[in-house]
Amino acid sequence: MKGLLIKDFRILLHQKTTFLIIVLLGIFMGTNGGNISFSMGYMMFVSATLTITTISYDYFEKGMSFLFTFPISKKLYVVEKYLLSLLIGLVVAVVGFVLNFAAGFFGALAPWDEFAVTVVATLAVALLMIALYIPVYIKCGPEKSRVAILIVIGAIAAVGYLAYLVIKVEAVQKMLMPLAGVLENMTAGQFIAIGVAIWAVLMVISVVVSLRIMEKKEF
Amino acid sequence: MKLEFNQVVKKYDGFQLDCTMTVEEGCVTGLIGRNGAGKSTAFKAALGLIRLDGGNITVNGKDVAELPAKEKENIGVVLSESGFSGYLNIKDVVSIMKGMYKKFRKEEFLECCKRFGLPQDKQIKDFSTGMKAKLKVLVAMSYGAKLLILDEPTAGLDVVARDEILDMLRNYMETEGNSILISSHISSDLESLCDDVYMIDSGKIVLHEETNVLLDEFGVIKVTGEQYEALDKAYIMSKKKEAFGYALLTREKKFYQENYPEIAIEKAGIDQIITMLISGTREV
Repeated sequence: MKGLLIKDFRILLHQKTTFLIIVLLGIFMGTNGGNISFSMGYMMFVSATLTITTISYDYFEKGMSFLFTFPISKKLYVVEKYLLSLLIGLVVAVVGFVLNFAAGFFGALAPWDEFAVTVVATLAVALLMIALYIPVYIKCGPEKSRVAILIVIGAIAAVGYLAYLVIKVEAVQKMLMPLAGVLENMTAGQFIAIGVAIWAVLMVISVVVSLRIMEKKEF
Repeated sequence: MKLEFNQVVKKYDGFQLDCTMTVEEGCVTGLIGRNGAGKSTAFKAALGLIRLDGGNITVNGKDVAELPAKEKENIGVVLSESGFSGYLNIKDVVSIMKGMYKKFRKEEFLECCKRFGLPQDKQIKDFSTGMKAKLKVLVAMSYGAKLLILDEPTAGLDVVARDEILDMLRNYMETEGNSILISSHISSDLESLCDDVYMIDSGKIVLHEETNVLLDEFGVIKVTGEQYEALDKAYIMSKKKEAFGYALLTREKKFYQENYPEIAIEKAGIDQIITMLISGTREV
């Protein structure tokens, strides 16, 4: 694991200009719009794609063949990509913390509770996005993944739209009435707990799918 | 370490690897053949990079497909078509290798890089072909592996660098128990380094012989049509039509030298043996 993380961070270090531009744009957005949430969201989402960049580098010039001659397993490779995403997210959170702290000197400090909620929420959503990207990139490689991601997002949108159409049907609405009642009576804490549980389930599904795809891969 | 291919089968569309071979402990074994003969597939199979359709491959009796990470640290690898990302430099490689291998010998590796003129700060993509080849071999030998699996390790190297690499491999073999499986298009490298050689063609092993037997006992007989008709063909392995008559491959050079002193018999090198066995007509 250590060797894989070092490899990816070393590759990303050569992309430090990209990261710097992300941070500068984040500062620009934060100072102009005065909204740390938007700024954090931007930095978090764009930085999250750096994990995908490392997968592209791994595939480049048949690099995967060489990579798996190292004392690592396919399972370890997959788990490391998720861990890397989390670590990148934490680095962005630290950068955001520093920026918000610095903003305090200019009288533009965002309340820390609001900042914390923003960081956790954007990190969670960014990780969900990466959880969608990782299995697709492992399955298709960098070349075909751009198209594959569009297809997957299109499919998700289509399922969402279908669900919306189904919910609009009166009979279905009647069936869902008891559920709506339950939701209305739930506390904020319960909502958060359900959100966290759904998030965790989606992440686990992504990891399991990635592992299965990777196990079938030949290099 | 001992590497064994036991009736290994791997099927692709239009190609099938079907191979049994052994790299004995303390030996250098060469795998030779034309492009597309199955060498790289065999190497990938040996490294567990592809799933087999039959048979198994073992390292010291353990299946490579289930080799634990600790055991993989005993295998050093050079692949002809891939290596470290070109965007990394040697300083990055050192950090990665330290993270990957417990027995990585940093000082020795950096010393070798210096000796071979490999700059530490330059990105690998800006290295010459020869520099990239040297780096691959140095990396494979930098952590005390007991088995080296080297696919075309000297490709793109000049004569001097090639000799240096071959010397390094010879030094490596001075350690008891070390083994090498190597492929190369440069037959002189194999002739001077290998204890035995497997020849592969269309996915199948067509010849396995000790190198000294290949060089001492194999010969190419040059005969006219008339001489060919009169020749005892019991020990002829392959026949190829030539302008003057026939070129014949035999592994009983002495038999023909003693019984047919009037015919021309040349010493057969690995290149000639490959050519005769693959493009000639098999007689045995």
